Amino acid sequence: MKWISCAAALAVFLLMSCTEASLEVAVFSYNNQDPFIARHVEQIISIAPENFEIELFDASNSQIIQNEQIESLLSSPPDLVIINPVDRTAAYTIINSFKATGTPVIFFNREPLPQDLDLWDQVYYIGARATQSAELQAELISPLFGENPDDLNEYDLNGDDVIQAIILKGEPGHQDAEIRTRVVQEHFAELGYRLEVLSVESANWNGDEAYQKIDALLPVYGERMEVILSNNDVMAIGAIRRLRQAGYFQDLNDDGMIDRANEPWFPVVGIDGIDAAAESINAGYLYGSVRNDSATMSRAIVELMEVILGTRDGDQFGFTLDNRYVWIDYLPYTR
Amino acid sequence: MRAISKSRTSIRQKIFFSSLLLIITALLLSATIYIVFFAGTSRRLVQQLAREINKQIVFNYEQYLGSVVETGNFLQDAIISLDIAEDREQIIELFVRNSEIKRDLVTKVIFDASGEVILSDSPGIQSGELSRRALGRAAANPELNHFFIGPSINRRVSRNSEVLIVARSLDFFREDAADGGILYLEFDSSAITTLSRNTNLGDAGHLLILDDGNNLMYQSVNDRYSAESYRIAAERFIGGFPVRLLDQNMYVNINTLANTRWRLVTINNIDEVTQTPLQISAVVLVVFIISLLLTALAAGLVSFRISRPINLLINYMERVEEGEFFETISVEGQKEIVALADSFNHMITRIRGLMTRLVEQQRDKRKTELRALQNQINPHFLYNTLDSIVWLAEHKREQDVITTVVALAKFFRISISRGANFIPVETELEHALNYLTIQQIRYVERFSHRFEIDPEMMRYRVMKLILQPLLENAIHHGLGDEPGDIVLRGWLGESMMYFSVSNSGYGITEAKIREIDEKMRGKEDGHGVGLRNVFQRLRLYYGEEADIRISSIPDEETTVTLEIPLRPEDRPGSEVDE
Repeated sequence: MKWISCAAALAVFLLMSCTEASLEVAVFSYNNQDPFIARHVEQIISIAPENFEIELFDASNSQIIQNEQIESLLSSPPDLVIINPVDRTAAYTIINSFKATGTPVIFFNREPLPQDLDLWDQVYYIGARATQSAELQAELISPLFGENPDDLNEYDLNGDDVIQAIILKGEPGHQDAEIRTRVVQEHFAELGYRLEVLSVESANWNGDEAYQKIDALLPVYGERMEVILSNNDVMAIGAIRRLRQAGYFQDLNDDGMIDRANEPWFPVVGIDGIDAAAESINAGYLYGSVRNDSATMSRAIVELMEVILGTRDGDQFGFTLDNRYVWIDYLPYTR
Repeated sequence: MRAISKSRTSIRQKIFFSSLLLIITALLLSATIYIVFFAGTSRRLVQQLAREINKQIVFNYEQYLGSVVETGNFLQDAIISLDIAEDREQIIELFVRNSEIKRDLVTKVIFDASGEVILSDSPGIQSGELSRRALGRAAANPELNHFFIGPSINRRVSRNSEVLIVARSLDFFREDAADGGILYLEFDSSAITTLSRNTNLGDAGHLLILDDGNNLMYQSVNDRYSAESYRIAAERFIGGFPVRLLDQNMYVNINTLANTRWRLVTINNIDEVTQTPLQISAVVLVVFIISLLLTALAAGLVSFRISRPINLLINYMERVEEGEFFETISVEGQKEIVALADSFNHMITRIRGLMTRLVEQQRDKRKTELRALQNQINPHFLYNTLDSIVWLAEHKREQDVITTVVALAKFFRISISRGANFIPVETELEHALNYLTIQQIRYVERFSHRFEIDPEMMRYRVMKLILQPLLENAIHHGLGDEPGDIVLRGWLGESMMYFSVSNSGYGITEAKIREIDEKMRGKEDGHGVGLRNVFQRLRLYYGEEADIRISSIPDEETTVTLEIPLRPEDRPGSEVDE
């Protein structure tokens, strides 16, 4: 009797292992200390179908470590890799390495150079267009000044029908910082609003630096500035901290909230939609932010992965594949 | 039994080979484990070291390139707030100040979008190839801010040093209008290259930097390895792997340099470390062989020490098997073997004692038998003698009766001799004479006799009753119908005593002699009891040297000779034993 049950167990096991021919996928994160990426990766892993065996590699913000992690897989590569590169300019080495092993690659969050993506037809990129975040930022804040760009409302403090702005820029030379700084100005013009940039100050994505920069600018532009456009939320919140001290925000009834109808406030917008930004928006300080839609992006990554590996039909893909790019929209985020 | 022992292995072989096998196995196992473990560990360590060195160099380069990028960003930030046409003096001053802080920044040029020089702190730089190259790179990579164009030799500065050329897209205002161009920078890269060059990559180790098009950006040395290492580096993109570069074992490590699209390739010489396991293997082999020889020696010695006493014992036992009981064995060695030898010796001693007793018992028995034989008096001789005494008395031959009776009395007295076995030759001769006297009276002049005895012999001792049987034979068988002559001779040899009895007559044939001789020496009883009796007694008491010879001359005489060894105790004056 014993051997019958053994044989039955074995048969069940074999049957299971046949039906669950699991697919191996490696996910590379540039740095899991970054909460946005950590949550993003977590989402990818949690929504992946059960027959995918997903292994996570954290590069701790070092391309050398990521190179070693990639190298460790080259001898017995997984079925597919999903990579958030540390140094996007070095992506051609990653692509060429996996091209040699025939392993499809999906990049996300950091976009490789277009010529690198063209190195092989099994390389994909899923992400948001950097320009769109700045466009949405402009679209988010511009209605505050009235629907008619030629006749601005009371938020045009000096009534010159030109919006005087201070831009808090991220790390100089950083692709996003450069693009966001440039495009937000361009998009105001496209929307028909005239924008006067009083100053572009780089605060290196950092809240404290933003605080210092605003502190230095207030004596010069404190009277003239009408809006602060920040390349990210962290700098925007740092700026708000200084503005609160200078009386730009006043919680008159001490309810911890700014009631824009009755209490003084100043328009500051950020990008990224981090948790701290959401709190600040809900409390009435930060006017708005633009959110990177990591949930949708994670879904797109997983579906694309399934399509590439043949476990999902191409017509079941809920996103648009544009020459191996999948673009996910940013989401504007206000109260 | 010997055949079996040959087909099987001996104790010695068994001990020798099993201890040798044991040691070989142990040595081989430990040597293999050692070599495998050591080789694995050293390979792993050396690869780790090569990777760490590569990382360190990459880190140094990234630090340096980071500072280059920062400088570019700083200049962009500063220039964007100035007007490139109106604030010319300020920008030039900015360049000068910047060079004072960052001394390795040797050249700064601003090109406009068409490649024309707008501003320059190096008068030698003209628009042309340099600006075209920088603009070309900018057009090819619209998404990149910095383009690392590569190192070159700066011939314009007196140091003639190596420079790193970096271009950067530049936004600026010219006459209040936003415009764009290229910021062209040259950095003196000697510090970083010296640092890399001084990194220990081993003999003939070197480093290369390739760009994304596999163009050689930098190589630390240009020697016979360069071409081959470039080919290897160009084939791979990232990772570390060992290669054979010409005659050297090298470890290649490729990593990316952040923001540059460059790959830094280090080539470490690991030949020495790769050779080490080989050397270790050689040492292990030598140790192995020496240990093996020592073990063989020790095993041989031990097995010899153990097997030698056993083999001695075996040889001794084989001799015993062949019947040699007369020596004991003395064996030195293990106490078990000594105990075995002792027991065996004890057993042999017992056997030897038993055998000696058996032999002695046998001889005593024979002697007793023969003594009985010797004491036998032929009853016919007595009857005949008594008959002849009666006949002499009837014929009133008193003198003959007296002679006969006296001779008979003497004959018997000597025969008995108070039980003595050996008597003086003189007495034996007297006994013979008594016998002849009696027979002569009885057979009435049928024969004459005479004695020819060496007077020296008289006082020697001889076994008694050895001459009478010969005389009896001579009288009964030797003499013919005619009156005969009997001669009894006696003489001394070197170590022998001889007696012979000759009788005249027909003689006997050679065949007859052989027949008698065989009967005499044969074991079965039969005719010729007298001669056989004498022969056996001689052999019993005197040994193998004693003998009886028969010879005959046809129609003349027949002689029987006794050959008796002279024993010390038979010489005159010695104590009478028995």
